[in-house]
Amino acid sequence: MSGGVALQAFLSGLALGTAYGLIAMGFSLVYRLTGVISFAHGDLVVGGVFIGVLVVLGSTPVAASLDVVHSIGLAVLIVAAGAALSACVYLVAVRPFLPGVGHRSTRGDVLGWVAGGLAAGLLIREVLGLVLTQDAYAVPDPLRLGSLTPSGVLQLPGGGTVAVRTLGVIGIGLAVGILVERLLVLTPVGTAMKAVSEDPTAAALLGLPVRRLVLVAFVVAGALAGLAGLLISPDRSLGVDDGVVLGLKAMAAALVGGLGSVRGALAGGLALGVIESFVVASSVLGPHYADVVPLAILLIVLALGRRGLRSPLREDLE
Amino acid sequence: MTVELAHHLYLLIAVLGLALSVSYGGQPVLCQGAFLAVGGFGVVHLERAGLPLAAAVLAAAAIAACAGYLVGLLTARLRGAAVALSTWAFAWLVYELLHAFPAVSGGSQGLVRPTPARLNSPFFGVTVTLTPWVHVAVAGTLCLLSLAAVARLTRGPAGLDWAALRETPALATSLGVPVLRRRAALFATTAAIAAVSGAGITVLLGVAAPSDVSPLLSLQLFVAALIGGTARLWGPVLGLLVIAVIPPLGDALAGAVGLPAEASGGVLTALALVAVPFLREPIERLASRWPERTERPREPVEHSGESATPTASREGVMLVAQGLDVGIGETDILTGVDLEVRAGEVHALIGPNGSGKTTALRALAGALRPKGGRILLEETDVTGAGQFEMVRRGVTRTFQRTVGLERLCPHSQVLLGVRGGTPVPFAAVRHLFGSASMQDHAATADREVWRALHVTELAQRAFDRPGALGAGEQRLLQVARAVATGARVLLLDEPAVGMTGPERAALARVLRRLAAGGVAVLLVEHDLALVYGVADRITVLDRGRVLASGTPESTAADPAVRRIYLGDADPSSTRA
Amino acid sequence: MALLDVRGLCARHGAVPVLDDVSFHIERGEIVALLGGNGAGKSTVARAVSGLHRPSSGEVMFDGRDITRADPRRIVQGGLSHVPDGRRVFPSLTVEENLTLGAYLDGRRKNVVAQRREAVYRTFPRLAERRAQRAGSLSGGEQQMLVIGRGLMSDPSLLVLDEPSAGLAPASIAALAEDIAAIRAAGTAVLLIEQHLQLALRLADRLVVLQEGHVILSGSTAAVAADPRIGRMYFGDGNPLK
Repeated sequence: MSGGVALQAFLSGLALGTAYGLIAMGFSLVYRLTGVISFAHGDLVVGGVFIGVLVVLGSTPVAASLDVVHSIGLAVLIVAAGAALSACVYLVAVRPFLPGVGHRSTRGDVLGWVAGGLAAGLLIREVLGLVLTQDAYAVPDPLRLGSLTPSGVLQLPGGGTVAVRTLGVIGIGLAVGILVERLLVLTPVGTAMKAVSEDPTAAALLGLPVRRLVLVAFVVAGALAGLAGLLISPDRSLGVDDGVVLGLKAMAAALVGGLGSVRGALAGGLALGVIESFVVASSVLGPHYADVVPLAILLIVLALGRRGLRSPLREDLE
Repeated sequence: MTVELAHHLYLLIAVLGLALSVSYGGQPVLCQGAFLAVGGFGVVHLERAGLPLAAAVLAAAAIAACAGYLVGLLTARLRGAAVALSTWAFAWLVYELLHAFPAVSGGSQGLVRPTPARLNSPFFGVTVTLTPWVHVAVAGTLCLLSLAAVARLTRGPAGLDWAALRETPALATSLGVPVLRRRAALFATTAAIAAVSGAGITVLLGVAAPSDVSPLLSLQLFVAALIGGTARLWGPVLGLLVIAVIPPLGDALAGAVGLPAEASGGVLTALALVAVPFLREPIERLASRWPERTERPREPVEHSGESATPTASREGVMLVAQGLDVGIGETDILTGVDLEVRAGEVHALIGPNGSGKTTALRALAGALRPKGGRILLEETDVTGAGQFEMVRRGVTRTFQRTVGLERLCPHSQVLLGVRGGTPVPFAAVRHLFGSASMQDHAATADREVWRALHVTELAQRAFDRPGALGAGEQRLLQVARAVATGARVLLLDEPAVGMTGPERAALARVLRRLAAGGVAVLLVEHDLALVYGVADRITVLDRGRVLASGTPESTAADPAVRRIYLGDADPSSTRA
Repeated sequence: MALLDVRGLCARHGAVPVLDDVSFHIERGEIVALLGGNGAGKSTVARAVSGLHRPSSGEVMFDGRDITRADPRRIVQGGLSHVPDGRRVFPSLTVEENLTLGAYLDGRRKNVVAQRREAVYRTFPRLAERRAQRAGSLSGGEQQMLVIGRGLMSDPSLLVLDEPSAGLAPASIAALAEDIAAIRAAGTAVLLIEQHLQLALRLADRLVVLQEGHVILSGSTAAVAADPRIGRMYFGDGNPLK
């Protein structure tokens, strides 16, 4: 692999990884507050994008070029749809099974929210599938980053090329990711969320609105997922069923970054995106392995992950 | 129609196999479709390689079993949600692999089975044409066989182990049940059965296609196993209904509303998935009402009466801790703790809340690896041996909170301890095939159970419902289970919590009786009245260090001990 | 009218009864200690009073209002603050952030929050020295100060302290006793849940003794301390420590 090609693979990997990172951030945030592994999280990405496109275009997606108003409308709608879907998933499929803090004390039902999340994701896919019957669709790009330069492409030193859009995706994605991470550290709401994640009972005893904070976390996670969809979907064709694998890749990223760490999730996403991009570019492995390798990483990290008392994923048998 | 029936029956086999892991093992396994794929594609490839059909099916099942055992081992230590996540990822990994490598899967068209649907056996000199009715017969027979096998297994040693590892894995480990291996074995069995089912479907349809083993199928099988698994007896019928009814019902509904038919099954599966957690409890309550036994098994006559002959009294030091340092995470809990537990003695470990008593007990039981110091069992260094190994060596602990198996009568619970302490190799398989030696083992085990029940004064309650036992009796039952492992060292964590006065007196009698039988007892306890009534030796812990150790009289006179318990010499204790 | 009035409280964990007909009351500015061994149901009383555990019957009146089935948030708002056992600080947050969260319901009134925080720092000068430090890095005694201070941040009229002395060094317990006395002197009533007999005897105006979910003794500290049953409960008959 020549230097130019490697740089090209690296940059497109970063763009992909930014999206994974944004999805993973939401996944980690939700996990931190509730201990819930959100099985429908990947479907929020696809759901957000397609709901936005269906509403704005009024038809099944075509790679139409949009005017400014529609572009802004589409971008806002995709993010909002992601957030709204996430809130719905939480209220309908997750919240009934969470352990109650306060006098509604229940032990919580893990099987309940696992099944609820799987079912919510399946429903999103199937309901969208009723309208969107093709395997994959090209999606319009509301960001129109490609039109910044005449060709939409920059030459890289060493021979490769990179789309201006790719650089834009990296810039926007990282900026939003870092902004959200800072907000979670610096604002009072962020502090309150941290308190809930560390000790929900103690937080409830201080009068913190635990359930509302959890809802906020789900909304933020959904918005981040929508944004990720907005960033990557125009670069590739998107199918209704792509959400699951996207979600699983984001889980891999979150696990690599240390589950529950929002900052780590972003970093993990970048790492995973770059790995995937090099796998695709490599002459040994190639595009067949684009989904296989991240899924294998997920399985390995799960199986060999942190041991010990405080590990959230491992059972304490002793 | 017949083809559909056969297809559903084959899927039912997969559901029955999955129910082993889901309902009996308590693991949410979401990758049954992947193991069906191993069977379906495996059998075609193996037949192409020249194997006869039967051998190909067996080989595919063996491959699936190996894969299942591996996945099972990798996921055995994970919590439920993480098991769901990793098996779900595994289902998609296999699905993606099939799509990425058409050489394996035949692409979207699938792999066509080369040989005609005919089974030649030169050995028996018969040729069977595999008509759909033959498939119905084969699949039906396999269903009945697996039902019978599962029913027999649950009544034997395996059933006890499964109940323990499903409901309280920590308790199972403390009684010597190899939880990880049991889970992996269940997983392997599940996978092998799925492979047989997948092979059957491939032979029935003549083709193996990736779309037939999609993760959606895994979800549907999971729903069927959940619904079917909650009710043991008529569960399989329910499971079959779920499998057979969802797709056509979905098609009919979709047709009625005027939607494409292929999307409908998923929506219904999703609805069923959501419904399951809500329905589970009521169904379980209906299905698992305690069976009222009219006829209670009697205990063998020669062992009734007061406790069986005590094991020969032992002398000397059993378990020793030397300079034990233990921490949990970053926090140091114990520093330089020395402790000596002698055979035939009750040694009490007391101290204020948070002084490290339970941590010391867990470290001695092998549940926590010490950071420094040594643990010796009869002069053998056992530092760092796991809890499982410690049980085998004769060191068993109990828990501070009452961990119970709500559905097992005291006799069965104690039997679990006996089986964990003195395991019989391949007990489940030997029981399944009715090995004669198992009957001897069962008789010995039964004697051990009664011994433990008599020692703990629970013989009268042997076949009662655990819920009907008083709080104190439940605590004694914990002791009985631990005794039944054949422990020479018992580590008891606050056995008197929640006991009434008379129950405490009974506990004191039990402890003295155990000591008289030569057992070394380490007792962590808050109730000083009980401690000073039964202990031969007392060690007082304070903030992770040994404050005093010796006879009850000497520790009671110790000024440091008096200070932490009574505030005697505390300069601040004069009332303001 | 009593500040807190618990009448006929019954509670269960699943099917197991934990509290049976527990009644007691606390007047304004008073310290009442709830004594009992492990598993006697002391913490369940605290959890039922603060809305964490739903009692199966009985009622809890606080400041003239029925709070039996109220939400923890409402109860804090009404002026009852429960400091749970186990020194549950938020370990990755700083001391100051922990304290500020204690006044979450008054979070908009920045001045009020700052004033209360200064008041807590005056009571616990050690916390002021460590205000920027992460709570997880504090010593046990300091963490206990922090959770008590955090409980005071909502400006409660009743502070429920669950086992504040557990696992503390004797010197820390002595300091704790002075702090609790200071809190009462400032006008806050305290329900002190303790196993540490000496601390309770020293601080409390009245004692309530629980055993197996029943109130077996209650009355003025002097009267209860003289009762032979209390010695028996702690040390049994013929105990050499006695």
